[in-house]
This record gives sequence, structure tokens and C-alpha cells, in this order.
Amino acid sequence: MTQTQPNLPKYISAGETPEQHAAFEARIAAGEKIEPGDWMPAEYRRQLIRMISQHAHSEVVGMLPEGEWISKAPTLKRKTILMAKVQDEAGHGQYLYHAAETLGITREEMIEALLTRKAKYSSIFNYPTTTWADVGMVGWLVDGAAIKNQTMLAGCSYGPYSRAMVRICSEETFHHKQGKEMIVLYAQGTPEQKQMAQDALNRWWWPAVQMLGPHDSDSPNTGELSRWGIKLKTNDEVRQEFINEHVPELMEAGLTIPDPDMHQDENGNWIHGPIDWTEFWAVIKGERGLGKERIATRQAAQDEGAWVREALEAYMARPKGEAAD
Amino acid sequence: MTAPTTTVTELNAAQTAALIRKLTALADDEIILAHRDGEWTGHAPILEEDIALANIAQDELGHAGMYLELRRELDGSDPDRLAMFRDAAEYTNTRFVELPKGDWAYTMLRQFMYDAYEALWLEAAQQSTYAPLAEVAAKAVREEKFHVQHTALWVERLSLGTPESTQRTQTALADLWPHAAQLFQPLEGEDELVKAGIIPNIAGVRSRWEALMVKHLQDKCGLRMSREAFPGPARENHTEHLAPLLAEMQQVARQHPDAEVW
Amino acid sequence: MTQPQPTQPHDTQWPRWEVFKQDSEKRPYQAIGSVHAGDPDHALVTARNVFVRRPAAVSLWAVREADILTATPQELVSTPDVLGVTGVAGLYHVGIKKSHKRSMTFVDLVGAVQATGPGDALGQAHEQHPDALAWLVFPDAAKVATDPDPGTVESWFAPATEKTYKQQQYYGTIGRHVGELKRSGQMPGRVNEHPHVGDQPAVKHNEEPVK
Repeated sequence: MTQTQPNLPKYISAGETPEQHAAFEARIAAGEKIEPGDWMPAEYRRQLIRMISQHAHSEVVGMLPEGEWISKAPTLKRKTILMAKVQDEAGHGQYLYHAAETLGITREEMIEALLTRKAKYSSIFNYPTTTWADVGMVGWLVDGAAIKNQTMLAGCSYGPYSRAMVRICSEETFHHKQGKEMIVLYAQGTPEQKQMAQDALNRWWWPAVQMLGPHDSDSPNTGELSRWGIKLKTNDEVRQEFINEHVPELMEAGLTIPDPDMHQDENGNWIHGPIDWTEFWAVIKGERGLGKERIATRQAAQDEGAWVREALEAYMARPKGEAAD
Repeated sequence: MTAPTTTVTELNAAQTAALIRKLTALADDEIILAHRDGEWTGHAPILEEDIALANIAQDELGHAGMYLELRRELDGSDPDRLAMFRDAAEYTNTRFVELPKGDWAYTMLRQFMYDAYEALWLEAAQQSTYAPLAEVAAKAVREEKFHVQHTALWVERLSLGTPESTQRTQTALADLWPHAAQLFQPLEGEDELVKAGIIPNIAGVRSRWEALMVKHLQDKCGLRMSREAFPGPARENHTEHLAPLLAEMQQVARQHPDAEVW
Repeated sequence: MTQPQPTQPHDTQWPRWEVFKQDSEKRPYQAIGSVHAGDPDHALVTARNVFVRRPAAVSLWAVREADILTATPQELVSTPDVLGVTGVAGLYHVGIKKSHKRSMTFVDLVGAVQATGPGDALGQAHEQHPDALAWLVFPDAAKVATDPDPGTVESWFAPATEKTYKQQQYYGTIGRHVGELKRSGQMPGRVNEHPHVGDQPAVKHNEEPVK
């Protein structure tokens, strides 16, 4: 951490001037994208590395809860679709690590930070997936909520992050729709299928509402992130968009939203009841949920892959004459 | 290329039964291998390979779907019913594909051996006198050609990488080689299909495949190969690994036997 | 980006290769991202696996990150030394970023120049395209490209068009479309300017968050 200078806001790091910051903010206000070689505040770089790597880790860990169901999908088509979806999550992690790499951190360092739990990822992926319908509900709600965030970030000021997000959004809409399709079908299926869909909604509704982040009043980084065009909307605004879009469709599917206070206000917005954050924070702190297991699974993949990565390095390092032919 | 002339109405009863058997065996291999590949999603040695292997697995599942759709045209059977409601004794995949996924060397080597076999079979099957099969083969062979490039590249790098990776690849080859022979055993009635030009002669595919294996595994990768021929049991005889695989794969479908939509 | 420091710690994630994809014969190659891969052939196969999960592509190039030199207008002012970076003489490909509009690609490759080294190539790129928002150059010798023969194009790129289940259109409109909900008044036209928690506003815009 750089020392803060006296009398300057803490986002102005040592060696930086208010004039540099003003010029930087003017570029953003003019709609310019910041590219890797451009001058940027140290704090902008630090916040971006934090956000982008966290985002990448979320994609990578996010492969696990749904990935478990690839082996159990009830039809060949669903198995193929789920494989493509989980594969996309690997791809999205890959794009995002690339975006973070442009800021001067290596993928090696980021993975290390994940495995030593120095870096965070979305705690939504520490919830267990207990039935097949969870695959559909995660697609509809969790991806639905994620898309809201990603669409916003596609417009962010940092070029590589924005480009990764534009690509991710173009692919992610399929995740949302396949999940929705599943749940709508099951809600009209056998009584057992309908029950499975409702159970999944009961378990995933509040985590999905919470995954868009704490209320704006409790979100410490929002100020500078919005000043720098990284975060263009507040958590509560994004949450409201998500709820407005999903509540009518869930109701139309014939499911009951597990929030007795849910109602529409005079502007047409769907207003949720008070959110119980205890579970959310307990999962983030690792007191509940599968945080330990998720990291252990990633660690195992990392360890078991070590000899493979070494093998390719050794192959690369072979004298040219030895190249097979 | 000879223009395919035979149509489904011209298949006699014996040919129909034999073709159903063949299509099912082809599909079963694809389903089980794709399942094993799918076990890597989220657990591969590097992110790029999670993506790569998932591509291959999706392609193989797609091929299974195409074979089973051809079968549906012949007997009206439902592909998903076949996939999810047959027990191990009714599955006709080879042992080669049902063996546990092993390490990355085992997975890449098995996939290479399988892709090469499938690419060669499909290349020949494009000449099928049964037009629907010729069409499917023409589609699928493109994907297999890419698979072979990818997996051949991996086998080469692992074979010529570190002493550990060489050893692992060599061990995988020793384990897998005896099981590969089962891929080339003609099924009941297959001769008749070959005579009618409906499917390629598997013996011809085998000799091309063996030549390719020697060229790549021995000459290029420096692996020691057994030249012994193993006849292998009939496809109905499985190892102990298939039943638990199916129990997992079929559990959701079987918990909801009356479900009409998924 | 510019040029990586040679003193980077050992990285077991393999070198990074920038990937350039051509969507059709009539389109330029575009910088779409990167892959980590062991060697040139592996980089190309990996690029195909990562970036051609969906259509469309007819050709891919991969270039080791260390062989690429980039600059933005700001960098040319702050670190003009970049124009003096030396290297092998020869043909260099030139990419430029043209706009700040939302995009999933960085630069388009717009041509090639004969240069005495990467710095010279960058300088020529700057002269030819003074209004660009970023320039990128790499030696032709550093690129590895997919085979242009029809067989390769068919097996590497064509099948992606048939993976329709990766397209959202495949799923049709299940449930009612958002547009329909809007028209029937069940969907607010825009989100509250003032998000609520229960019935209480959560934040006031342009002010500090409510404590």
C-alpha cells in the first residue's frame, strides 16, 4: 500500500497529483476507455485487479456446483447443454484472467491468491446444489443476476475489462435462457418435477437477491468505483432491475416467491421484503456453506495438474533439433 | 465417391437388426467416453484444457445423438430412453471407454486412440450406401479430425516431456492397449452390412489405425508398444466400472420415470 | 501491455499468446484475447478451443506476448523510448484500435510494414494511422497461423455453426418476453431512481450513501 498524502483524498496515492486525477477523470467522463499503457491511479489499478480477479475466480469456482450435475443430467441434450455452460464459465474465467493480466499481475499470482484464500469470489458458489432443478434455477436466477452486473461492467472505463464483459454477456444470455427453459418446463411437469422446481426457488431466491452485494449504505468501495466509471450503477439499482425482470416471470411460471412482503409499488417496481443478511455473511466468512470444499477441489486440480504443466514446459525447453518429426 | 443408393426401405430384416446393433454400439461408446471426459470439467490441469476437453465431450455426445437418431428412424426407439434406462448388461460399449478417467496422460492417450479409430471409421463410412449414415459420417468426421490433431499433440508432449510424464504415458499405453482391440471386433451381422456397403470393413479400419498408432506412438513419441493382438470379450461383458457409472448417470432420469419433459 | 519485464517470476501457467481471429475472408484479423499455451502448435489448437466454441472464424493467428509491442497516444508522449525498441528487421503486422465504442475486440490488423525493428514498426504505424487510439505491432515471423486449406477450415471452424444450443435463440421465448410484460404494464419501464429496502430508500444519488 502506498502512503496517503496529507490533505488529499485517500484514493490519491503518493506521487500522484490532483491534476493527474482530474485529467484521468475527464477522460472517463468523455467516454474514453483506459488502455493498459495509459496513466492510471494506483488505486484504480488496485481496485480493478481486486474486482477482475475476484470475478475470474467466481467463474472458475462457479464451474463446480453445476459441474457436479454433468454426470447426472437426465437427457443427452441436457448433458450437452450443461457441459457447454460450465465450459463457458471456464472460458469467462479465462477472459477475465486475461483482462487482469494486462494490469501487471500474473495468472499464477491470482490462482495462488485464490487457493490461499487471500482473494475472494462470489459466495453464491459456496451453496450446495442438491437436486437437478438447481441447475435450472442457478441458470435462471444466479446467471440472471450476474448478467445484470456484467451488462453494467461491459460499459466500464477499463478497455480490457469492458471487452471481456461484452464477450461474456454475448455468451451468458444462453445460460440464463436454458435455466429458465428448464424451470418453466418443470413447473408444468409432473408434481415431483414441479415440487423440485419450487424447492430450488425456495433455496436460491434469497442468495440470488443477496449476491448483487450489500445495500449501498453498506458498500464501502462504491464511491471511488463509480467516480472512475468502473461501477456505473449501485448494488441496489442492479438488484431492483433483477427483481423487476424476474418476479413476474417466476410468477407466470406458476412458482411462489419465498418473500411474503414482495409487492409492486406505484411505479411498477417490485419491492422485496427485508433481507436477512446473517446467512450471507456466515457463508462469506466460511461459517456455513462449502467454501472449504470448493477451495480444496480447486487445490486438488492445481496439484494434480502440476506434472502436466511441467511436462509441457520441458517439451518447450527441448533443444530445437530434438523437436519431433 | 460412389453415390449412395440403398435406402431404408431396401434394408432387409437381418440388415436392419444388424444396423441397429451397430448404431447402438457406436453410440454407447460415445456416451460413455463423453461421460468420462465430462468428469474433468472443472478439474483439468489448466483452464484452457477444461475448455478443450469439454469441446471434445460435447462433440462425442453429438455423435451419439446422431447415431441414435438413425436408430430411431429404423425402430422408433427414443434416444434418451436408451441412454437412461438400460442397465450395464444392455449397454454395448467397449471396456476401453468405461475404464475410469485416470490421470491426464491416460485421458489424452485414450482419447487419441479413440479419435483416430473414429476418424478412420467415419472417413470410410462417408462412402456408405446407406445415405443417412453417409451424411452423419460426413458431419462427424470433421470434428474427429480436429480431435486427433489435439490429442496427438498432447500425447506427443507428454511422451517427450519430463521423465514423470513419459512414465505416466507409457503406463497408460500398457493399460489401454489390450482393451482397444475390442473396438475392432465385428458385431453379429456386421459382415452382411459390410457386403452391402452399408458400413466399412472394420478389419481395414484396424490396419490403418494400427499403422497410425505405430507411426505416432512409437516413431514420433518413442513409446514402447505391445504388438500382441488381444481378442477381448464381447461388448456385453463389462468391467466393474460400468455399473457405478450408469448408476450416477441415470439417477435423475430414473427417479422420475414418468417425466415427459426435461 | 508494452513489453513484459524479463525478470518476471517463474510462471507455471505457460506463456501467454495473443490471439487474432478472422471471422470471414472479407474481415480483418482482430485481437480477441489470449491463451496460455506451451508452444506454437499448442497455442493454435488452444486458441481454437477457447475462441471458436461459437461461430464464426475462418482463420486464427497466435503470437507470443513477448513478441508484441503496443502503445497508446498517451504512452507515445510519456515514454517516447518505445519507438526506439530494437529487434529483428523484417515484415511487421500493424493493428490499430479505432474507437472507444463497446467492443469485444481490441485492435484490427490493418496491414503490414517493412521495419528495422518493433520500435520502427510502431513509429510507422503511428505515422500511417495518427488518429488511432492504440497501435500494436509484431513481426510476421513471430506469428503461427492455422492452415488455410479447406479441410482445416472445415474441421477447425465449420462445426461451431452447428452447436446451436450455445445460442440463446435456440431456447425461443419461454415464458413471456420482457417486452411483452412491459407492454402489459407488468414491467416498470425503468428502475426506480431511488432503490428501496423494504419501503425505505436505500441511497440518495450524488450524495453520500445513507448511513
